[in-house]
Amino acid sequence: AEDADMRGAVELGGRIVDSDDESAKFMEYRDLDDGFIGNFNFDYARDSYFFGAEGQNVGLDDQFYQITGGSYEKFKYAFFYDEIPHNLSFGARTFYSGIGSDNLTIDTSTPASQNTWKSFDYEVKTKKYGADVKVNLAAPFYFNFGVNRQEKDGLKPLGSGGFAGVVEMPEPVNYKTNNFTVDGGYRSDQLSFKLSGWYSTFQNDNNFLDWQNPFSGVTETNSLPADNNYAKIAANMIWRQLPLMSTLLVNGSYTNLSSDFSVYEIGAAIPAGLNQTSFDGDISTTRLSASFASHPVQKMDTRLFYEYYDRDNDSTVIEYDDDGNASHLFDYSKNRMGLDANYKLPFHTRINGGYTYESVDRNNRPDGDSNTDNLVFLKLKNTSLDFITARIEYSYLNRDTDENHDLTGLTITDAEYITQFVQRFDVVSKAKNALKFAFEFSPLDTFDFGLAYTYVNNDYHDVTLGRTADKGHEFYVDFMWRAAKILNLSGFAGYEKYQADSNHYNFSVNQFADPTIDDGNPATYRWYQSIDTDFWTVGLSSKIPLLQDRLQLNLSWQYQKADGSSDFTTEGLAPLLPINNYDDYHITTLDAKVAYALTDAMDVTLGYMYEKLTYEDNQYDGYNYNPSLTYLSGAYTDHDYENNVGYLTIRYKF
Amino acid sequence: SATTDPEPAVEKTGFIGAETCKDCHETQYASYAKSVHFKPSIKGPQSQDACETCHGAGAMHVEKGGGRGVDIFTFDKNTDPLAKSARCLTCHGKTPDMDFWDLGVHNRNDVSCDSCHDLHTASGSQKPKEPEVCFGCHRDIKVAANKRSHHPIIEGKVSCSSCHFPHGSLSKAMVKADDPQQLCYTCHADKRGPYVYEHPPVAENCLTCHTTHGSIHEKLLTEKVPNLCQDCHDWQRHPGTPYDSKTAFTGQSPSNRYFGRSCLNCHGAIHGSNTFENNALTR
Repeated sequence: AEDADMRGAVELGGRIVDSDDESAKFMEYRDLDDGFIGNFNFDYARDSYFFGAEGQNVGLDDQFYQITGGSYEKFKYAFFYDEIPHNLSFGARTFYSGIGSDNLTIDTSTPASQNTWKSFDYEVKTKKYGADVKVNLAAPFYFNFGVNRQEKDGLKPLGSGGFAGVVEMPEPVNYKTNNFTVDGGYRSDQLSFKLSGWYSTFQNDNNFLDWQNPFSGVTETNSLPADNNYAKIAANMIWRQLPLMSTLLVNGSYTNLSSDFSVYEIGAAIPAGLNQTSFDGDISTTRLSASFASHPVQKMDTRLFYEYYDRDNDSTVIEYDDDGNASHLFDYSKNRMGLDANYKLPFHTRINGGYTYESVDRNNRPDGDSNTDNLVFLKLKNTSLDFITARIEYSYLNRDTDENHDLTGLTITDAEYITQFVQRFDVVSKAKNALKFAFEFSPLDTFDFGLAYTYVNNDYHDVTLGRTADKGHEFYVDFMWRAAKILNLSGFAGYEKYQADSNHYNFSVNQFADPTIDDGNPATYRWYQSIDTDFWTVGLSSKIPLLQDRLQLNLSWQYQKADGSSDFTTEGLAPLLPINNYDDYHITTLDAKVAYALTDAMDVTLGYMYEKLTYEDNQYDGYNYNPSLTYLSGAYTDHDYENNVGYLTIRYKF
Repeated sequence: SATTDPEPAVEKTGFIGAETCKDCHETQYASYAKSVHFKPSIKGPQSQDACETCHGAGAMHVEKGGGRGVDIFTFDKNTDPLAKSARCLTCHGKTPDMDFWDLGVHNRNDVSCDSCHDLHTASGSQKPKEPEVCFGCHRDIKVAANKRSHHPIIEGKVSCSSCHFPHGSLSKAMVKADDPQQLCYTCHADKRGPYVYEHPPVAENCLTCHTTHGSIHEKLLTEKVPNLCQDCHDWQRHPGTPYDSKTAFTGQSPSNRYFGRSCLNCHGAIHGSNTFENNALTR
């Protein structure tokens, strides 16, 4: 038997935070208040057995614990507990009573003065815990199973209302998701077979939210996420060592998602002429795929693939007003197939090309009833110089879409008449060009440099109304320099540009719902929008051993800036004013950390962190909680922050 | 194929033993001695031919006086990635997690095992941990994950391998699901539905409106609201109305269709609604 190997560490310390602004954004996914710092880890191994325990951010809102163990090649297990805060917005306000419940009421007949509004935080706390076990006792057979539960509790903003007025209110979040996974199979050199299952239940303590409308005094009801059950079974089989050094893979899966509830649970007035009093949601998907990979000649490998996917929505169709209104069940099916090949050319050059065909048929999506995609791509990679790797890739996608609008009985002044002129970017015919270039340069063992550029352009065809084009440029560079034992320096920079153009049409009730015809009414006009966003980022990071194996200084700095704008042109009489503050922001972060080894087993770390975010956006400038016909709660108004964080920890290693 | 290619027959000649390797490669041996690979009780290198299990027989290398790559297999940058991975897959290729390695994007793009894993460290863990090891190649993702709106990747609450299967899968971008929706619903089960009134792009692809790693726009949106919504929705009255800076809080004619959360001020059930009356996803 081997000697036991045991090692671990315990880190304890404290943190002080100097905060100018109480911003949820600063604390979005972390707990960075004044207080205690605690981390630990422990590993034990003997013979083929191992065991580990880990704890991070002990006692804080973002704490994490894990226990792992097992025996190599036989079995493994893991138990975990994880808390994830999601702070959305602090210091929100509302006139509602019953915050956190499914019934929001107003104490008086109309919202009183804002001075009496209650303060609360929009935040959702997630707790995840569970276990995973992998068993390989009877190799080549294996068996895995897992169980976990996710609980989310808190508040998030919900907007509702209508033409009479708009209200932003706290939506209760009390979700529980239980997941059970199991899979097992057989694995040999020639054949693999796997069968897997996943069952998941989602429960929401509040399927509906009643709220008193401040404009009418009437209690209204909003639907919140409904309880649902999800099940999946899947199987795959892989045959290897087939002729031409080939591998065949066949995969199939089936899922079912269900949810049911009654109109009487909602509490709102029942629509006249309702055809069903209960809704049975039932969506199934079926997927079948096959892939055949070969090495027909030494320098070449190829892949053929086919995939079929079908989403079948068998949910209840809800109709009311004597069929005047009906829900439309959306489902679709896809067929996808293609081939690609890799070939090694002389001079350390590799070429990779391929073609993919995809067809999609949809129900109840008349603007994209069906489409066919043809995609070709070509990649080249060259490594003829040992210290340089260059890659270039080009792809072209052509999408042809068929629309299927039912315009029967509609006239030019019916609002629905306009549907034939609206082409939506997610399904419309288009040509997409994408070019990527990457370059890696390593002239020394101690120096690496890389750059990458990507250009993507979508040109949407025959668009009367909708997005006509979008394009993006992305450029990144980075380097790493390891200067012997003196300095380890790395850095990166990035620039991204995104532009999008769209056509729109302003018209109102009884005006022409046809943007191609001038109805002579100055209130009916076409207008055009161009969006332009630029993003820059740069960062530097260094590790400097001030005293070898004793004292180390880590420094890192990062800056990023986003600058957007929206310009308009119009055929209307009134000019449209550009938007210059368009999700504009600056973020600066600085981290400095000094670690000193008091002994071989003990070290102390002193750290400082500075973070600053400034945000400017036209939609939040001059924020008003109660503009005309609107009651807002202040969601996402606490963007800006400037914080200094200092911490001191001592770590004992054993 | 790395897992299917028969491993070249290893002649049990020319082996010199780990002690000979140690004479020159003391640092490497010391780190190897602390690794899982050194455990003789598992079917690892130490229970076979130690250093030469992975590096090959060393007699010729010694005879020629050593030197980097001289008659010895090394896991250097310039060594053929497929050959490097093949060494590891001799033992690790038979684990179920490696089923899709041959068909995976990493293997097909010359990412070898040692690109991410350090073979000589104490725990056998990745060189840097996630996400840094992934950011080393995926520069765009590193930039995205640091943007103002992001999944908690840099905070360590979502790791790259929470969503991706780096050893290969059949799905696009090697995600741990058949498609993006199934993956998103793993954590966002509240968005699964089924809904009485659906929003078809939501049901077909979350990525129509959201990006996955990070965005300059709130809620990881691909574009800003109301523009994202208006790219699809042109209708009489407010959907087709232009919202320029006049309609901001500080503008001449403020509109609750624009300021604050814009369309979401009313259409709170944007992912789908379960009221029996159709309220255009406002209820």
